[in-house]
Amino acid sequence: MTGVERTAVAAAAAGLSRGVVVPPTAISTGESFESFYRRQLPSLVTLARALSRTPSLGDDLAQEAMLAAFRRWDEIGSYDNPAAWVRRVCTNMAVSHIRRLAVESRALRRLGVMRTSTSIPPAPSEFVWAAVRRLPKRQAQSIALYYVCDLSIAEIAATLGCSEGSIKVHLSRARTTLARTLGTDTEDLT
Amino acid sequence: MSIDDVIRDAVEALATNAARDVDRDKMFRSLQQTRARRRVASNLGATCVLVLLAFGVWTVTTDARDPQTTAVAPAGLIPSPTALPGAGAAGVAIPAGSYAVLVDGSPSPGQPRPVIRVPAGYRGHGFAVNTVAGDKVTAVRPDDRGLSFWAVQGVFTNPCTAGKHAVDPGPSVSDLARALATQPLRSGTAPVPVTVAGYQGLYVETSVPAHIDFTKCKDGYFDSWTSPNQDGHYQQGPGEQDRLWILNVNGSRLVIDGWHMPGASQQQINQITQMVYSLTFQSSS
Repeated sequence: MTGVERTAVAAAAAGLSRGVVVPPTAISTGESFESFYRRQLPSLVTLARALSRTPSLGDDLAQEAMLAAFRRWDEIGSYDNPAAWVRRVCTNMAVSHIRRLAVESRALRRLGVMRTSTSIPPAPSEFVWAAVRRLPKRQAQSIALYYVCDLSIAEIAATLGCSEGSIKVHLSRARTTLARTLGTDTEDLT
Repeated sequence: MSIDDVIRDAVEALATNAARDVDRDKMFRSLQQTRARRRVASNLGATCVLVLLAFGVWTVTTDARDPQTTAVAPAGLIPSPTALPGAGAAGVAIPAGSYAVLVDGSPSPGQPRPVIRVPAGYRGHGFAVNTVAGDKVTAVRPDDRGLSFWAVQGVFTNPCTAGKHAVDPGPSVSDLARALATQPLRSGTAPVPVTVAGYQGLYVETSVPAHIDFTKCKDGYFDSWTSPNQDGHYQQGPGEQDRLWILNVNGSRLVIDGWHMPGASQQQINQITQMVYSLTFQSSS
């Protein structure tokens, strides 16, 4: 006899009219933030790294996006797709950071100060992401969401708040630019 | 090699590195610490603003008064999280956020203080949050709901009849759970073990008869229990459902009543459950 069955027998003996109930749990009413975080973190970090100059900056951006969700989890957690909200925040933060870096870089050039390049040669994949980061904002976000997060055109449109048509245009132009920059063939996938 | 293949290869390399580097436990702890730090910083900022405002008010008022008058003390510091306001009967509308609750409306020295996350749309009552826009039973709407924190003292032998009186249920969690589960007119369920915020206890569901007329009850109230600092706990209306988490918190009995009227939607009921399971405890100071 299980604990609940024993309780049921005791309840019947005590004359309780409604028998045994199962107490509600936190899980039954929506995912906890910690569970969401653990599930989504790796893909969010990958997305943020794709749009960031360094892995550590990507990790920081992913954490910032998660922190924004953590603060408002009562609200964000009730959304149909909290992950889409976090991805949008993360990609917006990443492209804002890229733009700030570009402004800073131009200012340094004007002052005649050049950044010292790293002595470690970048991995081949880093040339791809560097090229992605040089794309216009929406194109870079679309490429990252399409390839890194494996989202459909409709999902990217919903995430970025654009029409599906404009996402197709962004992806197409981005691929053309990347192919030219990286010296590869284009392939129409949309 | 197409650009599509090139990007997919780059994604694979990126994902492999990220999977290797990401330590979920460590990063989650870091996130919690960052949040706590920023909350403290935010509260300090708010405190500074309040102190400055209070000083400004003090300066203006003392300038306008007889210089012999004693100065008004500046506003106190804001604790973190915010103390649940609205100890008055009608309560006050509160924004979504984390609130420290006064169990039974009174500080309990030496006992940790419950902290809950409250969504938008609720009113604070010091020891409770609910959606009732007023202090009259007649103000209750079909989908009203709430959550309250009690130190139960006595359980009414009958919530309605003229001869009702409260009796001591006994000192333990199971004593109280049994008394509430078997209270007449409440259709209680058998107590079931439950754990909330790391504290163990018993869970009981009770209800109010759907067609009962409160005006025919003694004093016009349908009462469940008495407590040291409140007049007692009366139900809001016919058909009300009460879900009771009766916890043993460091040897002290805490009753959390998550109630809703029969017109509340499942989503609204879930809000109450989520508030219960958002519970943490703030050490007393």
